[in-house]
Amino acid sequence: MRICGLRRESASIAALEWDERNSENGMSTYPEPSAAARPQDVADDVREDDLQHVLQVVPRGAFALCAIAVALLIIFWLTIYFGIFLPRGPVS
Amino acid sequence: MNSPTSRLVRAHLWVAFAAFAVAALMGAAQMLVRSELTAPAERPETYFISVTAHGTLMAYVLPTLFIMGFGYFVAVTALNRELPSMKAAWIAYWIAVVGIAMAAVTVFLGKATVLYTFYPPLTGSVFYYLGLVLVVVGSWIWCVQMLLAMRNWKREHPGVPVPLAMFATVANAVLWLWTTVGVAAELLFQVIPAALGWKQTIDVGLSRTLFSWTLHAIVYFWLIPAYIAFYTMLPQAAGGRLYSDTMGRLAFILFLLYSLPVGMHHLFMDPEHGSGFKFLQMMLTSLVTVPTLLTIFTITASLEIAGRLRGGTGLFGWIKKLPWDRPMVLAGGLAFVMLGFGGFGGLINMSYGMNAMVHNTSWVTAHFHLIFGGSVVIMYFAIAYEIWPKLTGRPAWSVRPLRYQIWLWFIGTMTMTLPWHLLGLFGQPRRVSTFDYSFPQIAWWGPWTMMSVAGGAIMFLSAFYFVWNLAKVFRGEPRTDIHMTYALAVHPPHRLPAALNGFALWNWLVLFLMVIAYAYPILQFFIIDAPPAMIHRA
Amino acid sequence: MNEQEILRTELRWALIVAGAVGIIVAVIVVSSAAMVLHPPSNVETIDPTTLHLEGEFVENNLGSVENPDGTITARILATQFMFVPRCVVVPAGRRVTFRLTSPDVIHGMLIDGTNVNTMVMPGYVAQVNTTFPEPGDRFVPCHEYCGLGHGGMWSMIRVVPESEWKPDADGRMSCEFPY
Repeated sequence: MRICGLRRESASIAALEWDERNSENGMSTYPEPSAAARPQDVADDVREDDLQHVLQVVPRGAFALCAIAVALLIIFWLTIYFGIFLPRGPVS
Repeated sequence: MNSPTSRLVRAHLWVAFAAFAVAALMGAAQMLVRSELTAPAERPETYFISVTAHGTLMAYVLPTLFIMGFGYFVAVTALNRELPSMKAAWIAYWIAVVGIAMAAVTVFLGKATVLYTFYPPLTGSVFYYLGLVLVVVGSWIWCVQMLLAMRNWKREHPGVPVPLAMFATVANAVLWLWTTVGVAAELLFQVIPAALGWKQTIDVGLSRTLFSWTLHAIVYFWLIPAYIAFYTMLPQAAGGRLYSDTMGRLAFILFLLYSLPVGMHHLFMDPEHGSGFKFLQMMLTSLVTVPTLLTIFTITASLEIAGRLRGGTGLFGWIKKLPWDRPMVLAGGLAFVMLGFGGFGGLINMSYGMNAMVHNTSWVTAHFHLIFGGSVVIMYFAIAYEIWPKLTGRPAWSVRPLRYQIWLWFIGTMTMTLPWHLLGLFGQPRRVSTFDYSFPQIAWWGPWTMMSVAGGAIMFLSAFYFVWNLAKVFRGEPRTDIHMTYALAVHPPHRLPAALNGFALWNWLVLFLMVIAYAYPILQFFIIDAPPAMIHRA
Repeated sequence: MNEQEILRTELRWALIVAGAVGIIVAVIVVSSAAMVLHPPSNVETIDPTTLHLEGEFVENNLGSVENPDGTITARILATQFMFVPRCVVVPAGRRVTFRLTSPDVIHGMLIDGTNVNTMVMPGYVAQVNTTFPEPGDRFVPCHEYCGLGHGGMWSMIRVVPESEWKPDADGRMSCEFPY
C-alpha cells in the first residue's frame, strides 16, 4: 500500500530529469517506497512503453463515462425544470 | 519534511480538525432537534447557538486552517525550499488561533447568535466579528507567504514551470485575497461599527451585496485543495499519470476568474436588485461549471490510464481494476459521486427563475453539504492521510481503518442529504429549529427527517473515527526515507507560456469581470438611498 | 499520443461541456423571456420606521384585496416573529401580486408547492406575481433566520375556488389561521 509514494520532491523538475533517463532505458526507474508494511501493496511502476500502449485507447473510457454522467445531469435538470418548476405556476 | 515545518503544518491541521470534530457533533445534534425525536436541551437558544458555531467552525475555521497548513506543506515539498518566513507563519497562526478562541467563546456564551452569515440588522457581540477578522488577517499573511514562495522560486528557476500543486495553491491564495474583500468591507464599514454602537442603522441591501461578493468564491477557496489532490495526488495513488498538466493549470485559472463575479446568484430572491444583473450573474455562473466539468474528464482519463496499466480492458473494465483499497483513490471516486449529486443541485439553484422553487429550503443545505461536506471534506481526509506519514515519519499500520472512515463519511453524507433534497423541494425551510409535525401538510416529513438523523449520526461517527485514525493509526515503524511526491503528467511541460505560469494577467481579468458584475450593484445603494434598517441586538 | 493530441481530446470534451451548459442556458433564456419568468426583482424602497403609521402597509390595509381589473393584491408584513395577517385568502386562477416588507429585520417567505419565494427586507418592498392553478391550503414558513423565534413564524395561504371568493364591499376577504 502506497499511502506515501516516494518519487520526487517536485513534479516538474523530476520530470525533466526523468525524461532524460527514460530515453536511455525505456522505463521508469523511480524508487518505489511504501507507507504500508506489506510489500505486495506497493504500487507498480509506470513503464513508458506500457503508458504509450494504453494511451492508444485512453481516453475512450473516460469520454464515455463522463458523457454518460453529463447526459444524466442534463436529463435530470430538464426533468426538474419542465416536470416540477414550470407546472408549479408562474413567478415574476 | 524537516520537523519545524512539520510542526507548523500539524499545528494548523490539528486546530482545523478539532474545530471539525466539535462542529460535527453539533451538526448531528441539530438533526435530532429538527426531527420528531426530542433532543437534550431542545430550545431555540441552544439550537441557534449550535448552528452559529457549526457554520463558523465548518466554514471559517476548518477550511481556512486546513488550507493554510496544507499550503505551507505544498510550498515546502513541491518547491523543495524553506518558507519565506517561519516567524511570520507562526505569527499568522497565533493571530488566527486567538481569533478562533475569541469568536468561539462569544458564540458559546450566546452573545452572537446571528449564524455564520451574520444577517444584519441583527448584530451580536463585537468580539465575534473581531475574532473572524483575526482569522482572515492570519490567512492574509499566509497568502503573502504563498505569493513570495512562488516568486522566490521563479527567480531561481527562470522559465521553469511552477509545480502544479504550488501553482494551484497560489491560485487559491490570489482567489482568497479577492474573495475576502467583500466580507471585510461589510464587517469593517457596516457590521462592526453597528456592533460597537457607533451606528444605529444599517443598509441591509449593501451588506447583503457585499457578503454575496464573498459567498460564492469562498466555496471555491474551500474546494481548491480537493482539486489539488485530484490533479497532483490521485493519479499517482491510482498508479497512473496525470492526463494533462496544461488542463490542470487552466482549470485553476478558470476557478479564479469565474468563482468571483457570480455571487449575486445568492441574491436571486432579493428585492434590492433588478433582474438585469441577476441575469448577467446567472450567465457568468453557468461558466463556473466549466472548470469542474473539464477536471472530471481530465481526472477520469488519468484514472483510466491507471486502470488500463493495471490490466483493465473494454470501455469500462478499467474502473474495477483501480486500486480502490487505497484511501486517496477511494476518496477521489466517492468525491466524484457526491460532486455529481451536489453539482446537480447547484445547477438547479443557479437557474434564475427556478431558484424560487428551492431558495432557502433544505435543498440548498443538501447542495452545499454534498459539495463541501461531502466532496471537499472527504478529500481533506484523503490529503491528511496522504501527508500524515510525511509529517510524522510514521506510516499507517493499516489502511483498513482509513478506508472504513471514508466509506462512513460517504454513506452518512448521502443518507443525510437525500431527504433534504426531497423535503426542500416541498418547502422545508432551512435554519428552523423544530417543526410542528401536527401540521397535516408536513406530517409526512417525519420519517424523512429520521433518515437525516441517521445520516448525521453516521457522519459524526466518521468525524471522530477520522481524528482517532490520525492520532492512533499512523503509528507504524518510524522511517527516515518518507518524502512527499506529486503525480507526473503524461507529458510534463518543459516550458510554459507566462500566462500558465503566473497570475498577473488573470488578476487584471478578475478586476475587469468584477467591475462588470459588481460595480453598479454596489454603487446603486449610494444612488437609490434606501432607508436603512434599525440595528437589532441579538 | 503527444501533448497536442491530448489537448485535442480535451477540446473535444470542452465542446460537449459547452453544448451541455448551452442547452441549460438556452432553456432558461427562452422560457424566461417567453413566459415572463423572473426572480422577484422589484427594486422599491420604503421607510421601515414609519410603515405602521402611513402608506399601504398600515394594519387595516393588510391581507388580500381585489383590484378593479379583477387581479388580487395581497399585502403582508413580516415581523419578528409573525406574518401579519397569519392567513391570506386568494382565489385560484387569478393573477395574485404579493407585496411584502419588514419593519425590523430580514425575513423570507415561501409558499409550499409553488414558485412563490422572496426575501423580505427592511427598507424594501418585495413583490412577487403568480397564479395559483389549484385551490388548497398552503403553508408559508419564514425561511430566513430572523432571531430566536424564527422557527415559530408560520402562516398560511388559503387558495379558494372562484365560487368561494366572496370579498366584502371594499373588495377584501380574510381567513383565520387554523392551527
